Amino acid sequence: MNTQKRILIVEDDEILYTALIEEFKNNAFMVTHAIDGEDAIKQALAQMPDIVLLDINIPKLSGMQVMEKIRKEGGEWGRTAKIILLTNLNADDTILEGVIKYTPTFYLIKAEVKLETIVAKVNECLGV
Amino acid sequence: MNYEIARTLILGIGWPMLIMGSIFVMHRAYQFYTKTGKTPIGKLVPLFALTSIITAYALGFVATTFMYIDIMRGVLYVTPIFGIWFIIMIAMILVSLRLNKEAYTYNRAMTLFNKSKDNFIAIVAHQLRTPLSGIKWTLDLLMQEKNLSGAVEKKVQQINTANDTMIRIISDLLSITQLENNKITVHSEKTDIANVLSDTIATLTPHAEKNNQSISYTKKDTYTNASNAYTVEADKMLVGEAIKNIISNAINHGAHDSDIHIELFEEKKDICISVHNFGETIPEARLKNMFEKFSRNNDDHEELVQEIGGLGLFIARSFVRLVRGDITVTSSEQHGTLFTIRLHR
Repeated sequence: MNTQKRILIVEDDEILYTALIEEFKNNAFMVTHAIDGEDAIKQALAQMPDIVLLDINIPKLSGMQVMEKIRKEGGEWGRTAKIILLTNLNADDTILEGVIKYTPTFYLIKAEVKLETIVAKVNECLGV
Repeated sequence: MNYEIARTLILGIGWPMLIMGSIFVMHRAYQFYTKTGKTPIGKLVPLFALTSIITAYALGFVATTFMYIDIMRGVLYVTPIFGIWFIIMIAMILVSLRLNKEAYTYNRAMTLFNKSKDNFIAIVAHQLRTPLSGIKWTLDLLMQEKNLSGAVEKKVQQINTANDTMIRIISDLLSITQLENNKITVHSEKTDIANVLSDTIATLTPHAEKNNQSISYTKKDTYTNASNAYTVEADKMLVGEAIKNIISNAINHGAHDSDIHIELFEEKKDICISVHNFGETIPEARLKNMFEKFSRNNDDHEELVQEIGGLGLFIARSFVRLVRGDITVTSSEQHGTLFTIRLHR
């Protein structure tokens, strides 16, 4: 049996995470979900998923802080973990700084991508 | 009373104070002039300051001469006048310092206000985008449902189109705000314009197909014909957005069932992209205002409503100008409408 691709979705808006979870389940992913920054970091370090979809504007810890912690505290996995920033914020200087430092694989603006495009980008990241 | 001492005191305090005071006043007057520019008051105030200073020096010379010619009468007349002048000078210095402090506080308040206004707009854009993304993705899922009747599918597509329009307008408003506040940082990198153009065309082709329009693209040979002939140092995002807006405009305003022709070519040392379509001819009067945010002829209600969609052209030209280029447009019944984006190397 093929090992299922594992994705951690970090998103606090209910409509958005419902849509994302359904789409990725429809595409044969094993999906876990975190609703805030603290939960995100806990799950990421515990599960070490194949890829993380990370919203920037989330409660408790921001997406940028989560990304930093993954890189710094995630050991071998964390250093090269695949992270896609999925946000509705235009990249400002602070965000760009974080992007250069912690190198997510993609930066996508939610309102400008279709669900199928997100899946395509994820598969692209995973080399599928 | 020792007149010599009195005279020495007056001259010893008066002259240094006059010299330093005049330097200070001229400095402030010059700052005021540069800030207010060529306005009448901008010239009047420094002129007034200069006149006052010249008068003060003249009186100073007169008083000094007087006190040397006739020390007794000189000192007796000059002392009270000097006393008054001294008090006025001190008062003016104190007022000036106080105004300075208030101006500084006001400046800081304005800077903070503008910053929070920018933040406000960014936050509002983010807040608006969230439910719109929700609609977009939920519609994506709806379209994947099996057994959708043709009628339902069509309506879902229409909701999707309207939703995408809202999303685009928010994006445009955000871009315009950033442009107006000079918040756009230009990140230059080696950009292959041919790649950007073909990618953009690929993205917009489905949109054109809905109008039964086809996009044809010709990449002309260059003088050198090197593989990187169309590579230039530019901000990829800005150039891409500008090209996208111009082509989208051609799709939206071009005649259905017709061809949009795009050409990439070199002219002198510039890289040019031309986007041509047949359709509504743009009247001469509107051509002049094509790239403005609002048309000048706002009497027509329909015209005003159209302008809201015209933000894209304003943004396209602003972005192209940020990368040292420009956009021009011609339109006629016979030759159709032609937009030309020109990028300087």
